[in-house]
Amino acid sequence: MSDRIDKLVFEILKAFGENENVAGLENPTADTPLYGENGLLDSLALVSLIADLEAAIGERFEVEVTLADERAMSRKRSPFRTAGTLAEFVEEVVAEESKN
Amino acid sequence: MKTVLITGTRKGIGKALAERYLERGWRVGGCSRGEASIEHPNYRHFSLDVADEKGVVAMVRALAKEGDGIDALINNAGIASMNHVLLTPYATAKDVFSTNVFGTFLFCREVAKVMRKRGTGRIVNFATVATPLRLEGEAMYAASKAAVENLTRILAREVADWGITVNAVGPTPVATDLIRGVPEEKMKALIERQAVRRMGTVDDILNVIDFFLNERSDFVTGQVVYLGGV
Ligand SMILES: NC(=O)c1ccc[n+]([C@@H]2O[C@H](COP(=O)([O-])OP(=O)(O)OC[C@H]3O[C@@H](n4cnc5c(N)ncnc54)[C@H](OP(=O)(O)O)[C@@H]3O)[C@@H](O)[C@H]2O)c1
Repeated sequence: MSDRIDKLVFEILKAFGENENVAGLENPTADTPLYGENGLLDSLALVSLIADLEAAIGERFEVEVTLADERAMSRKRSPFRTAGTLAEFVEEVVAEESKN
Repeated sequence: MKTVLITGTRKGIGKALAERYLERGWRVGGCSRGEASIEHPNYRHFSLDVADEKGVVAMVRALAKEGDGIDALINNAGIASMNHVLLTPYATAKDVFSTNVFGTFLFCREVAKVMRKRGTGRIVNFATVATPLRLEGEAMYAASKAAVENLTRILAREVADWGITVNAVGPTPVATDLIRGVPEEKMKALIERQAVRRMGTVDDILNVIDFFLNERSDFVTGQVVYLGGV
C-alpha cells in the first residue's frame, strides 16, 4: 500500500508541475521542497495540489480524505514541506481512514 | 446537462428551488437531515447534516463523479432561533452556527475544490434581512448570517482566480416553517421596515439566484443582495 501511495503522490506532483508550470517538479524526489523554505509552491498552488491529491486518492483507493485537517495544520513541522513528508503524511491519513 | 447542488431540499425554499431547476432540465443533488421529499429521475437525495464533514465530502465527490462536475452550489439549508438572547440556550446557539455557518463553509470548501478543475463555478449563500435590520429576538440567527456574509465576501476573493463567483441573497420573510413561530404583529412591523412592503416569495429569491448563475455574471462576486429594498 505504502508503495502505491508514494507512486501516486509523485505522479500527481509531476502532473501538477506540468499543468501549472511549476519549475522543479519535473522529476520530484523525496527531498523536493514543496512549501515553506525554498518551497516550489505558493499558498494558492499548495491549495490546488492538495485538492488534486484528495481527488486522486478518492479515485484510486476509494477513500475520501481531507488532507488539510487539524493534524496537518497543527503540526510544528508541516507535512507539506517536501514531497517525501507529503507522501508520508498521505500514507498516514489513508491508513487511518481505511481503518474506519 | 447542468448540475446544481442545493442544500436543505426536504421542504421550504430549498425544495421549491430544487423543483424549479428540475423543471428547467438541470440535474439536482439535494440534501437534508430527513428523507427525500422529491421524486424525479434527475434528482438525487443525500440524507445528511450539513455540519457533518465526512457526509459533505462524500456527497460532493459522489455528485461530481456521477455527472460532469458541479456548475452551481446553493447553500440554502438554515435554521433560525427566535428568542431573546437571555433566553437562548448555548446548545441552540451552537446548532444555529453549525448549520448556518459551518455547513455553508464545508460545502463551499468541498465544491470549490471540484469547480476549480473546470475554471468556472457559481456559489450562492443565504443571508437574511435580519442582519442589516438588527432584528431583536434573532441575535444568534442574524449573527450566524453575518458570518455567512463575510465568508461569502472573503471566499469570493480567494477563489476568483479559478473563475468561481461567490455571492449571497438576503431574503425578507417568506412563508415557510422557518418563520411559523413569529407572532403576526412582529411580522407586520418587520415588513413595514422594507421599502417594498410585502412578503417575499420563492420567485423573488430565484430571480436573484438566476442573476448570480447567469454566464454573463462572471464579473459579479462577493456581493450580498437584500430583497424588499432593505
Ligand atoms: N423563510 C424566511 O422567511 C427566510 C428569510 C430569510 C432567509 N431565509 C433563509 O432561507 C433558507 C431556507 O429557509 P426556509 O425558510 O426554507 O427554512 P425551512 O422551511 O425551515 O427549511 C429548511 C431546510 O433545510 C434543511 N436543514 C435544516 N438544517 C439542516 C442541517 N443541519 N443539515 C441538512 N439540512 C438541514 C431542512 O430539512 P431537514 O429538517 O430534513 O434537515 C429543510 O429542508 C435558510 O438559510 C434561511 O435562513 C429564510
